Amino acid sequence: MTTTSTRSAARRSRRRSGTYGDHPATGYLFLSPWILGALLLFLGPMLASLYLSFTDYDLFSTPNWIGLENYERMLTDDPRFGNSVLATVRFVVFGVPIQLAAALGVALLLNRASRMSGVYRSAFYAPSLLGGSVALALVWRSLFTADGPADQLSGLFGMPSRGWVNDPQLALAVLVLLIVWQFGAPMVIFLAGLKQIPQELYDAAAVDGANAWQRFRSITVPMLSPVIFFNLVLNTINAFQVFNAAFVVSGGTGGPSDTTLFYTLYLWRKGFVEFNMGYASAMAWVLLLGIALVTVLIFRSARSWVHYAGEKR
Amino acid sequence: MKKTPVAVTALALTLMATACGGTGGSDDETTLRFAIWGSDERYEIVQGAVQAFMDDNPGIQVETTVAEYDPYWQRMNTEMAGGNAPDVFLMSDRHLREYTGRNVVMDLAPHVGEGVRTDDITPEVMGLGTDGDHLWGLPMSQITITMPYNPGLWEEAGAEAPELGWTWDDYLEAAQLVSEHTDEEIYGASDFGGIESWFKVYLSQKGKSLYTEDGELGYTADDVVEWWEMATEFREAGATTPGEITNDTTAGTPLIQRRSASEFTPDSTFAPDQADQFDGDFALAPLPQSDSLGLYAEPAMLISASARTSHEEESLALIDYIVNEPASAEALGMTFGLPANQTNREHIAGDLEGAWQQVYEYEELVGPELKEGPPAPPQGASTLFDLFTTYYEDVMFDRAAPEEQARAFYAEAEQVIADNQD
Repeated sequence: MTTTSTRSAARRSRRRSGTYGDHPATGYLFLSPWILGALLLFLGPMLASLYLSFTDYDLFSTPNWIGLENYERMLTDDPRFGNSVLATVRFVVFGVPIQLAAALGVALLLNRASRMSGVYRSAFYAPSLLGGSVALALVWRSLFTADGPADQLSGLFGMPSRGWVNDPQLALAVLVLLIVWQFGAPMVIFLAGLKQIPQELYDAAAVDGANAWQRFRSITVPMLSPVIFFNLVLNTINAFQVFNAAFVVSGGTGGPSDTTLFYTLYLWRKGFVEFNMGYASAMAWVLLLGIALVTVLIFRSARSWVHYAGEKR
Repeated sequence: MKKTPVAVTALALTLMATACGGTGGSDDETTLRFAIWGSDERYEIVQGAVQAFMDDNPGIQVETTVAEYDPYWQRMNTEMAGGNAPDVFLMSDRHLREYTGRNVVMDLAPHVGEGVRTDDITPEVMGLGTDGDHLWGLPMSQITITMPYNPGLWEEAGAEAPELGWTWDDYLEAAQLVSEHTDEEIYGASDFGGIESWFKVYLSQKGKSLYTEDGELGYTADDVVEWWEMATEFREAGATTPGEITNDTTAGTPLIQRRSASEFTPDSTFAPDQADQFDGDFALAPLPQSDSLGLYAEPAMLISASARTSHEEESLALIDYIVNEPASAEALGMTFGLPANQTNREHIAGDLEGAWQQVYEYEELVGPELKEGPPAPPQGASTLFDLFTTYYEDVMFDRAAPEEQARAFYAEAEQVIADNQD
């Protein structure tokens, strides 16, 4: 009995696997759009850029192998490279936490049941849909240009200025505000996370007399920490790669005084304005390593502040 | 049979790929792509000349595209690198060597006399495109640098009108008066420190140049220090615009935005109705000088063809037509400056109006004083042009001392030139 049933099961499973085994091509066929995309659009160019990063490729001539020269110059002999790293790090360090704080704050407000919450949710999410669009950056630029609305507003408070985008001390703030304003995507994720927190915890805490801040501090934040972690990693990686906004707001120059010369912008200038594609490729790889390093650091730090439900401490 | 799906997919992909690469149209009509930089006004004017060309050359269609100067080069660089450059395009002096050094510009020399006429072109402006036996493009025009200003406002402020031979000290004094008169609502002058083109004139006034014949730097770090210290003196005296105004060019230069009463510009940048924009309070003056006037007679730009064009004959015809044909000169007027072609220059002289008439008169005034234009700058010149502005920004925002920035700039300039020489 047992042997028969085992055998028939084996036969059945063999037949089943056989149906697919006879036509591996079908599987690959369905996979082909992804495989082609990955090979042609991703892996190929990546390997090419790795090779080019060790050359003096100028977009037109045959690349010559120059070893580590590009990397050496970047780290030892290029003041503008330092400027670009500084501008980018500033942008990430200010932009991402403020953006996440805004996203969490709005998510907390929206989490309260309200008849209009669906409408609000869409309204707050809308800016993120426009995300990195050029049109939005143009609007942003005109908001903060000389005699623009931002100027008139700050004028009311006795802070006359001649356009935030033209002031080396304020230009970066314009871009930070732009990314903060696009808090919709992390907000939606926070909202989903908030809905997962069991109401009993809050009820129990309320019975024990915990006030709103204590409940937030001791229930919401720890319970939400995996979501905060996820948003932090994702938005940090994205912020390191911001290009459109800086390009449009500074007109492609990274000015004034290199204060908005983001890494990606400088990379693009090196490659397509100064014809130094070898150097630009090397910069791209350093950026990749830099982002990987920062991500690893965030993951490391996560051990001390991210809590998963049911996990023993 | 089992392999059919793969084969079909492969076939479909091949078809799709080739469909993208196909060149449309098998009829006799040739379509040329012609790229220019400048304003929409200039585009309309150029379209007039292009239309005349198409009328005279049935069977050739010309698609003209226009962009502002910086985006123009950003796009050109990418298109050149991708091998789909326009057939005919405008070429600036500082980009010329970047491209000719990479063999993407057509040599017109073999076609001179056969399709491309150069006999009637002013010799002063032929130098830029000529490189040994090669000719990389025809000069569009002859230009020089000028100073548009508001004479009415200057007079009101009690400032002396600029005239040939006036000095930088005179300029400082006059501009200061204008700024004081308007309570710094309108500054006497736009800050000139960050623009390499004006520095070039200053060097020329002292008998130096941006680049030597061999493509080395023609000046020293001390020259940059001197220039930026002078510009800083102007700015600190309230004569020139502060950083935020200088930097804000989205709605035009400070002069256009009425935040300054004078600035330097090539005399090819005007539209006929320019004077109207200033309610008639508009005149052109020569630049202030030190040892000498230092102005050049230069081509504003070249008109060149791509070395990879598949329509060589038609491209040459368009270039020749734009530069030499009277019909084209009538359409273009003074939009690129004085026509390079002598006959055309006289041909249009009688019909000019507004700012174009003023430009013509200005060219007549300074014409006898002009030097022949410098040779083409070396590879790396376009990068240095940008860096000059970037380094000066720290000076104009008082984030660094002129001397310190000047020396830092010069060190990088030397490196850029060295890098581009291998």
